[in-house]
Amino acid sequence: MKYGLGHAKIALLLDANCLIYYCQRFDETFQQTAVKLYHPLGERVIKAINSAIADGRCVGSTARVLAEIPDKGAEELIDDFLCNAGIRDALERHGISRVPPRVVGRWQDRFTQKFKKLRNREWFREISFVPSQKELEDARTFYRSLAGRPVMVEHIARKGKDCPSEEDLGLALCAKELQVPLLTNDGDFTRFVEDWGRFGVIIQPLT
Amino acid sequence: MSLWNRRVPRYWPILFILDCAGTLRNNFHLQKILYLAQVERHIPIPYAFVRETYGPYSRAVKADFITLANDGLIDLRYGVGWVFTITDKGRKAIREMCMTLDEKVLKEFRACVDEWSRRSLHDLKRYIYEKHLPSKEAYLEEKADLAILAETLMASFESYPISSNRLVLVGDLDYVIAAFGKEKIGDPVHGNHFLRAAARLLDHLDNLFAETSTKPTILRELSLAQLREDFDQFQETCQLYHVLPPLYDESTDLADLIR
Repeated sequence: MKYGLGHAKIALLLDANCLIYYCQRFDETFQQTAVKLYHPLGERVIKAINSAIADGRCVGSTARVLAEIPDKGAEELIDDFLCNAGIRDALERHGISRVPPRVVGRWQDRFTQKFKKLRNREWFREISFVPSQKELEDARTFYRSLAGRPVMVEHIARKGKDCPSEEDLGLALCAKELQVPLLTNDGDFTRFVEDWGRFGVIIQPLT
Repeated sequence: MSLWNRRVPRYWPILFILDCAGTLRNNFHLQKILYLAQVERHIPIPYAFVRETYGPYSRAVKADFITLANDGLIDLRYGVGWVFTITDKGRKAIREMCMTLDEKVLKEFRACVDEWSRRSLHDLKRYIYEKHLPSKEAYLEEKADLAILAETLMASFESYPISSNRLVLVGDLDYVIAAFGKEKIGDPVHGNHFLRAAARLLDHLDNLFAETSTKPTILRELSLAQLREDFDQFQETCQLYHVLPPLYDESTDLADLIR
């Protein structure tokens, strides 16, 4: 269900990766033995959600972030999940060295179903928040003001871009507006927690 | 005199069969008598039959018997399958039509109806399946053609940018290819059922490829609900004939999908 900011009893915002890790949990059996294929950070996301909703509050994300989850999840499944050492070990223990596309499709399908279920949880909110162009520009100006620091030079060299995407900035601005923490493992935020704090965005790093 | 008279409506053979038989149970029975009259007795039945899961079938027959019921020429009820009964109005109509048709052909048609309307559905099914299903060679040839189509489509969709839809489609095609590799259905009726389900799914995928090949990025925007239904049906067919367990069933053991 979509909510405007006025209706929110939100305690925590989640970025795209957190939502993906939450949904990338596949319970399988291999020759009748249970095989748990969970993204290593998934349990930490669940812990953060449980803690946030303990007193009857909610977690959520912006509609724009949510719209991209199925396709971002697909990229993550190929580029990250299937290459993850823990997942590979779990598969190789059962003699699976290569996951055939039909099984990848099965997991992607299941991922999409879990994501749909998550969106319908009573403690999850889809927030219709669209920042103004001025707010976005202010956020970019702030971020660029960090240029020149060794940590930023190294960060840009590694990431290859000088600003977070518009959807990530929108999510950060939503967190600022609601004055709730943003759970993220994105280096654009986690490497500059104090700076973002000064800008008014509370970052809760997912580590 | 030529039997096919343009003044005679297309549905005349349906009325003729019901005039001879009185009541007929099951659409299968009606469709197959029309088909056998056309191909074995050379009665000019104006319906085009396609090879379906349960043998030759014409959609137009169904459309026409609904029209006949609406016009009060037949009585149509649904019990265990359709039950068709000709009405007095229908009997009068077909007898008038028959006056303009070739008596020799009508005699042949009547003999066909007498032969098959009295036989059990089971007998009719067995006869149709034995005589009018593709030969083993034709079956294997069609299966090989479909396997090539599946592999070509899979390679094509694999070149698309990564998206949720792409992963699922490539997964579907990989499942179809694996099913072709494992399929050892001996029974020709079951084999035909399996092949028809695969052909329907691949036809859909082929159309989807044609619609997206010039702009592969649009694949991510499309709803694949209809395709999912066809794929689920194919998986159910595979499960029914012990070819491969379904991907959608969470209890399916990975070992059975990977081996």
